[in-house]
Amino acid sequence: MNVRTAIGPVAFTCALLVAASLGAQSQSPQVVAPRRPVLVFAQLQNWIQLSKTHRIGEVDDAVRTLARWPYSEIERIDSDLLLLNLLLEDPKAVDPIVRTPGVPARKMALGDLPALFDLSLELFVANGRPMGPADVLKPDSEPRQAIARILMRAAMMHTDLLTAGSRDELNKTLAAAGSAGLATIRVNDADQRRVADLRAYWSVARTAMDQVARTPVGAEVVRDWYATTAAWLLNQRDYANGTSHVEAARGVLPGEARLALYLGAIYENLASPGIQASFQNGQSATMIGSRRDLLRKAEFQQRSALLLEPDVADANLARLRLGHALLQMARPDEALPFLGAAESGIRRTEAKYAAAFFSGLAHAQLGNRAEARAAFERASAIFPDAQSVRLAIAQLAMLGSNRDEALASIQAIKTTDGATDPLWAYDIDLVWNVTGPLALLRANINERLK
Amino acid sequence: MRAMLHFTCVSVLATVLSAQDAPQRPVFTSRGEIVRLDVLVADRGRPVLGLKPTDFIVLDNDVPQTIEFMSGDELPLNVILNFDVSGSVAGQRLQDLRTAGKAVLDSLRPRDRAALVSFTHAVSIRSELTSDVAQLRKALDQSQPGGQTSLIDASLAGLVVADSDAGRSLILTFSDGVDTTSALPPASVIDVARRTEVVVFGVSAGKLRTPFLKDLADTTGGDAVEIQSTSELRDTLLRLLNEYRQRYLLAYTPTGVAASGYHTVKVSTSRKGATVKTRQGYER
Repeated sequence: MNVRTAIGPVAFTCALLVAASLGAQSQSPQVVAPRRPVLVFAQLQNWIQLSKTHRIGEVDDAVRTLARWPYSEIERIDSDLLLLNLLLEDPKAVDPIVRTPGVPARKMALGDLPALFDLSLELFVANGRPMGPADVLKPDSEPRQAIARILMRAAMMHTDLLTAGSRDELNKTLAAAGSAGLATIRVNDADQRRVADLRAYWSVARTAMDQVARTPVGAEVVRDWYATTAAWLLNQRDYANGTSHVEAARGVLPGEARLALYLGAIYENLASPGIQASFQNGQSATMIGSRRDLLRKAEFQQRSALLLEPDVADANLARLRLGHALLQMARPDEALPFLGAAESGIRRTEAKYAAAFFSGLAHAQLGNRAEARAAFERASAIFPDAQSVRLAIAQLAMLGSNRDEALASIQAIKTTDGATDPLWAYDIDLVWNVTGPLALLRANINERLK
Repeated sequence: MRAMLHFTCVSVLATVLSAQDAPQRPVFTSRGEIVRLDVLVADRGRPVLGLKPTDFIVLDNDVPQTIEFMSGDELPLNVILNFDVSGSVAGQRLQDLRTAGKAVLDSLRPRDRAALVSFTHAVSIRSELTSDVAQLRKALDQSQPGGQTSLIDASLAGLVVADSDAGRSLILTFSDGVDTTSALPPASVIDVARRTEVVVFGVSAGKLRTPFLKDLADTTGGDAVEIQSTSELRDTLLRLLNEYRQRYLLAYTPTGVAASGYHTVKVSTSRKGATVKTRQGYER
């Protein structure tokens, strides 16, 4: 790695002079001589500088400052970062222009990079000569790797803003700053809950990580980042921000089975009666989609996950989810093989219980009471006091006119008041542990940024 | 007191309870092949009283049946309170709910019994069928709001409690929202309801947002009612209970129809202008 000379924003003029000097020595097209000040990207520059001060994993001054910025500025940073990605990705698109409503059109050039990222001009020199555009644009070029490191830290600044602190505090800060809109997909007890619309914050992080992914610095880290943040959003039941995030993640990493599993789970959860009932009126119904469409999308995602990675541990979770989605679409005969495989393969007791319980429901739907009974008994053996299996056994007993058994089964519920039923957290059970992976992600990125 | 008991099949249908329970409490000791129907006859919204068995026509799978037993409001009731105490029922709503529940308990007759099922995401059998009103009042006071809503699961529990006694049972269900956490499919609970003789009344604070409660009420011959505010709950429950008391209980032994499967039931009356409400059918 070359020795870098840090150039602060106040030394911008000096940078121009150095760049001009370097340019004069070169016979190839030079990219480090800005043809105009980058003041038009002042907010992006501020954001980059802010991110450089961020300590990953902490809600520090950088994070608090970011939370106070107006939401429109975050959206504008996202546009500018997209411009940067375009600039660095396609040599033919050098000098792309971004047009944002209400803001003058902005052009970005490779010559803007040193000032934008406050990079040493020495990074733009190879073999004693200033780099041409093709050299700069190489994925493993020094400038691109340096930019990727900065953007990785910046993406983590956003990640920490969104995940490290208390959600309530974050919402208060954002509301006080008037910095975020409100979204209404998060649902509690069938009542829509308005939560801060954080999609622009997530989008900026994604755009930054997309640039990281295109360099050798962190393609693997980016995969982990997407999977970990997708799991975190699902764990939070934050469908307002999570759906778009995981959909985007699937687009970026179409071969990542975990993301298909998570996106399928989100669709399945959105299809649940409680959430659907909350959105029956008004435009929101079309926004989240009908139960039928969502279940079909869930089925597609889980089948994709199984096609991508049929043999990993998570595949059994995909089988469980696929089986449940099929069951809800009144296709119990198709659901049973997946539920059976999941029940056999899953180790986590909560998920194993769910697989056995859903198998019972599938058999019951098919009219196979004996098989249903056997499946419920297997579930009962895992969690004997769970309310769901006590009710299911009571239901079967009633169908068989065995009132005494039905009553005995629900009498057992009385003693479990306050107990936990695995199905109450089925919607997020596949991402029950998100703090560990988040900590690991932060540690990995810190290691790479050393 | 309205229509007298018409015992044409007394030995099968009704007897007097054993001495250790309330001595005067007649109960049905056998379900057997007998089909019981709770029938509301109304004319312009007002119950029509004083009808006789010969005033009714009962069709089982479109085959006319002979009414073997008919009763008015003489038989004691089993009243199951099935109350939603999820997180959205905190504060004044909970107060209104307790007030309404206690009003129902206060209106019970000496031979009536009641039970309390409360539900959040968890279903709790707070009290099984008892004539101990003090215990029921205490159970009502102990129900604390919180959590989500398992209306479908709680409805199954209510049906099981109600059907645990062969007497005449109704469920008064209150919910202020939609089901969010039930494990059982709604159709499976409706299926059970078809096999019982329990009548379900549902009261929703606000618009009924899913069809389950109405389907359950229609299946059992009850009613689903929307109220604007829980302040209306007390009067609504009392009205529904009173309406139930003014129903006729008809019973017949199915004749000329298949022994098993789903049977449609249609009841009409010779009384001009009157409407009849009863359950849609039963499963054997």
